[in-house]
Amino acid sequence: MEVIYRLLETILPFDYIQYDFMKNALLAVLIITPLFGILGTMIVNNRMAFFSDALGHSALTGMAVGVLFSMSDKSLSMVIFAVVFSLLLNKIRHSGIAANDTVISVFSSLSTALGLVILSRGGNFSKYSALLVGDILSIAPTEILQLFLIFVATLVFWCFAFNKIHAVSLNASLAKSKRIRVTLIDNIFVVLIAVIVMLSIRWVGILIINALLILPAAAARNLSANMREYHLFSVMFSVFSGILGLVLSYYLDMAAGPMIVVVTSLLFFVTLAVRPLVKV
Amino acid sequence: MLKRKIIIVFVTMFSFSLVSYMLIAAFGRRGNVYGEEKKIVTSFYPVYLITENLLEGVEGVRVLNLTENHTGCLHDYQLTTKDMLLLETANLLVINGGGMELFVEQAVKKLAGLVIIDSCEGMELLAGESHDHHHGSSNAQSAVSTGQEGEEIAGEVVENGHVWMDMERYCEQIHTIAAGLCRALPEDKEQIEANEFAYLEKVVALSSEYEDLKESLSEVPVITFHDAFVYLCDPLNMEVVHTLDLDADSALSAGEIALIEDEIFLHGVRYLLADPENGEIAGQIAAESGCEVLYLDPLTSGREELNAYLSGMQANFDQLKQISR
Repeated sequence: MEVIYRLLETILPFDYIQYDFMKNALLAVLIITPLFGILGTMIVNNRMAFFSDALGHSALTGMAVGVLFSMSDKSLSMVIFAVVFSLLLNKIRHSGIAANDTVISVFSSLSTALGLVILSRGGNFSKYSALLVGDILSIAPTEILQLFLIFVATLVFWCFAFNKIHAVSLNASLAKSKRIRVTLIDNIFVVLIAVIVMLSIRWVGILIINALLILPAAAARNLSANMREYHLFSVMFSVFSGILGLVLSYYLDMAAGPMIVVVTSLLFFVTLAVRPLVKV
Repeated sequence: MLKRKIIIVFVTMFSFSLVSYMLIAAFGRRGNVYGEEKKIVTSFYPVYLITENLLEGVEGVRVLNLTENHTGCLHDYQLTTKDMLLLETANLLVINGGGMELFVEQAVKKLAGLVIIDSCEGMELLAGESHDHHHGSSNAQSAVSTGQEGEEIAGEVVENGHVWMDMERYCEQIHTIAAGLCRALPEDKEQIEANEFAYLEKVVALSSEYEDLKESLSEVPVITFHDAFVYLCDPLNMEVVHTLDLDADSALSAGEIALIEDEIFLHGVRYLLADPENGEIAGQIAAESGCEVLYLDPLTSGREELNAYLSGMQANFDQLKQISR
């Protein structure tokens, strides 16, 4: 870690980088933002924005499960619950029993309410309210390593499965005819989203995690004509807003996560405005 | 076309960076605003007041309060970059302890070199907010925990860290912090010890002023709507039949309200002790059950005056004086 710290100090001659907490936060941003940029493209493409939002809210129930079973590591209970939640939600979503948005809304409301019911016993919810806004400034090196490992896993998965996910998102029947295991690919994708959302939620917060997943991709979509451009711009916007938001939060004494979302939102509106210039 | 898009993206990013630079230049923090003085950082109000009193007249030291008098308890406090900066550059961190500062736990793990004074170290703590009801003759003391154990709710250890509300424990806190400060600032030991003596004298004087309350309030049943008040009732031998630790953003369930009303009836409770910040529900319960609400100050925030604790506690005792058997 010391080597990385020294490297950051050499590359970035700014006063904020002399503090370890800023180095850690910057490293976390450099891992989380491209990860969200990549994942966001397919979430937006598959119209799963509401799905990932519901997943974020399920963190409350995951935390509550951890509290009920006295688990020392609440991240584990959150990940396990989110994986089960996402697979179940995905199954019901595809069963055609009810409209997609209705099913997701029911799951989202239930998981939020269940979490609140358990965590707010005795009027004590505020102990867990840190989960709502997150705190990237207190991330530790071991947690950065955890994020890095999931980042590598996502890249590997993306390299091998992107064409299949893309085919499924375009037309599931066509994908099936090409011998693509649609359900399996879809399930792996939602499990990946679940794991990433849960491992990042303590640093980003339930309230804004979806904005970080969706906004860079949505902004990139305003400019892109193909998948390559879409990925490129999404990752660029995500990383840029992450770094700028963090630096702004340092100098202006504001919360880092929300500041990143403000920058990404402004980028979205700018790309929306210039869209007629590039999409003819 | 891609080239054009990339130019647009870079121009956008450059404009954003330029605007940010202008914002930082206009409103941003500039350099080290704390100068060369030694920085003694306190976690929140009660320990800030103690530290300020102990370091009064000590040269070259600056006491900075991390939470800057954030209203209410600190379970939901989020550290800002400014707080992290302060922690990273601090010479000493004074915390209340007893699980009050969850917000610094994660942060201080990384600051291995930072010396921390835990004012509750070795102190016997009461159990936290409880759903166990002290039926019969038990009083607040019956909920004593060992400081490490605390009450267990669904496997979560809960201890009550609002120790400053008990003046005897407050004196222990003063002594622990003074000892820590003397170790950290040996050149100012004499001054710190003199300040400790003077401050302890004031606290003890106030405490003995209200000594007669012990007799008049002993065994009086009350319900408290803040964990801090349990420590106020404990030395007065009052019977706390039910305790809630309410925050501004929490709500009670219908079952809990019904339970409190049952307890009021069962124990003949006539007084509810609540914090004005979130005493609405106490007011409603009092209206339904014919009780009276006494609004007390948990002293989690307030004026930055050296005697703020003493005047706060005096006001609390004056409120308790209204209780008649």
